[in-house]
Amino acid sequence: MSILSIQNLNKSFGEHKIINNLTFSVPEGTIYGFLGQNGSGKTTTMKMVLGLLKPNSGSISVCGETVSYGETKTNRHIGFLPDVPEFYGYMKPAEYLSLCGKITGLDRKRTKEKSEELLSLVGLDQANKRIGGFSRGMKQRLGIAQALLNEPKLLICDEPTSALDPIGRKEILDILLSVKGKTTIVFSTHILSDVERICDHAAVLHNGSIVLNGTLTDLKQSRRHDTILIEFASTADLDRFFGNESVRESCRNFERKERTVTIQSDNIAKVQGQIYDAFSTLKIYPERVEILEPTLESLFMEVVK
Amino acid sequence: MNAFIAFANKELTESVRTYKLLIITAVFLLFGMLNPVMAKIMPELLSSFMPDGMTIALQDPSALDSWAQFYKNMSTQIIVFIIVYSGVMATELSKGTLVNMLTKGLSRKTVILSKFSVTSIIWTLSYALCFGVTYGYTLYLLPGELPNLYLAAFSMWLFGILLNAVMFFGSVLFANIYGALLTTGGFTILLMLINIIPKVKKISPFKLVSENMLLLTGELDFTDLRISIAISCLLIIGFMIGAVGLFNKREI
Amino acid sequence: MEELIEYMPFLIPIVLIELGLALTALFHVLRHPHYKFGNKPMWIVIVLFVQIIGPIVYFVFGRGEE
Repeated sequence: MSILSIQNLNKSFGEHKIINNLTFSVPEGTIYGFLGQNGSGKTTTMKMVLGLLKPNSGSISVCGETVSYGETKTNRHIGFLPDVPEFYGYMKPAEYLSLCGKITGLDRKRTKEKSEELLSLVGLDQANKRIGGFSRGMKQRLGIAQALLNEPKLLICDEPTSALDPIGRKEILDILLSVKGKTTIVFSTHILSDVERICDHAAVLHNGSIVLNGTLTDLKQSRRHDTILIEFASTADLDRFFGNESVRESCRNFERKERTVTIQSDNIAKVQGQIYDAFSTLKIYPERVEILEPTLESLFMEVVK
Repeated sequence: MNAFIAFANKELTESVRTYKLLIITAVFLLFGMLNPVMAKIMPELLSSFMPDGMTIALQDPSALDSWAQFYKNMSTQIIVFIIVYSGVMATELSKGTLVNMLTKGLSRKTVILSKFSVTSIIWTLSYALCFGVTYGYTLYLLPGELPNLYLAAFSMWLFGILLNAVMFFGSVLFANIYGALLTTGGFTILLMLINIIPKVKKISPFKLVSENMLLLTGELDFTDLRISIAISCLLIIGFMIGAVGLFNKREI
Repeated sequence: MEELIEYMPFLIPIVLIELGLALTALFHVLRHPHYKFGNKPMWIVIVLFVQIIGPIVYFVFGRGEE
């Protein structure tokens, strides 16, 4: 069952078309990476899901209910972490969560329990000072806590890691990973390594529509080019290697770069046999031989070209 | 209703912790004391600065002079109030602090109405404080009976509420402090300009702040003001409906 | 000037409020050294020597984010 589904969504700002016939759905229980370059429409899409922006056409439904612009009932299923969450600087984190609890309709006791639990989850239980003095990373973590307060079925995070240093990023990703299973997470980013680290599904948004979509393993599988990388001890070795007749015959599709060469083939086993033969006859001992997995980066570059 | 109270409570906390309430209370209290004292000692002060042998004919100060000070200074106090509170709606929109609240299910109408209620209550209480202190000091320093004392005070108070509503309208329209202040200032200047037309002058909300002294001297009374009061009330409601409507349309 | 002395009971609270406002602002200037504009010495002078208006201007325009 899909928890979020978007059908034929369109949105323009003036003449500028941001979202162009966008259709995709997010299966329940996944961590869904929503990839795209800056300005590709990720934030716009999310804001439409939250009813903060009005689509020109198309429909969005969350947990089977249709999203309407303005005060949408579907928001009770959603927790939202904006890209740069803004808080009331004069409040302490617990006070802020208590305000959020009252607004979302949780009773006092439940709010207190939940906010203590969440503050320790995001590591802010010791931070008993006003939010105004928080670092970016701390604000982002508090942002996750406020988003999770009403136990949402869907957690939407807009570029939660973009503005953070590597340690801050790791902390955020770990927190997201730790709530997997309790809630479905959609998170937008342009940092591919983040997606590879925690997502099981990914979709790439380009020029306002989805150009690539599926589980991470499927994506890699479908675009698999068998590639082998060899790093030689010296360029002379490399030249000698390509001097070999059978190597030249089997390695038609290759790319040289200083001491390394990457070879692509649809029959990698045959190529491997031939290059190892060549190594032993030519007495070449390369420093590294590696079968390359397709990276998300290469897939991404391919589709957004 | 719970969300309304919670958010109004947040507004009050904000007022206290960002020192807005402190400033307003101090200023209104200060002027409340200054009005009668200035009225009382001004003639003595003036004559003490005169060179020896020179006398100026000054009337003995009366309660009327104290209230003249009150209405003169209150227009400054309204300006201070509007400047101090110009950010309550506008900054939330320009900074984006409302996003978390709105996605938690807080309705936009509740945001505006609770903010407007809190600023109106603070205006009312600080105005009452200033009025009360001036009243008490005047009673002691410059005793005297005056007609329409409460009506004059009420009309100035109502004008403050009207400007508050205009400020909310401007805040939502422009989503920044400068827009809010320009709208409020522009509205006041507009009132002053159309006051040149005699027919408008008779019924303009501006009458609420321009003719307080005539009420106190008994030259005017409630019948002269009732249309202005009614129009002001309608404008307050109109601007608030406008602000809510605009806010509902605004994409955040 | 002697007449002024008889109004002291009325003038003292006014002075107290001014002083209270100035001191509250002064403590805030000293404890929160971040301002929207200006620097610490400037705000100390403004807050202490520009009566009433000084502290108001500081709290409304000069006070930085916490």
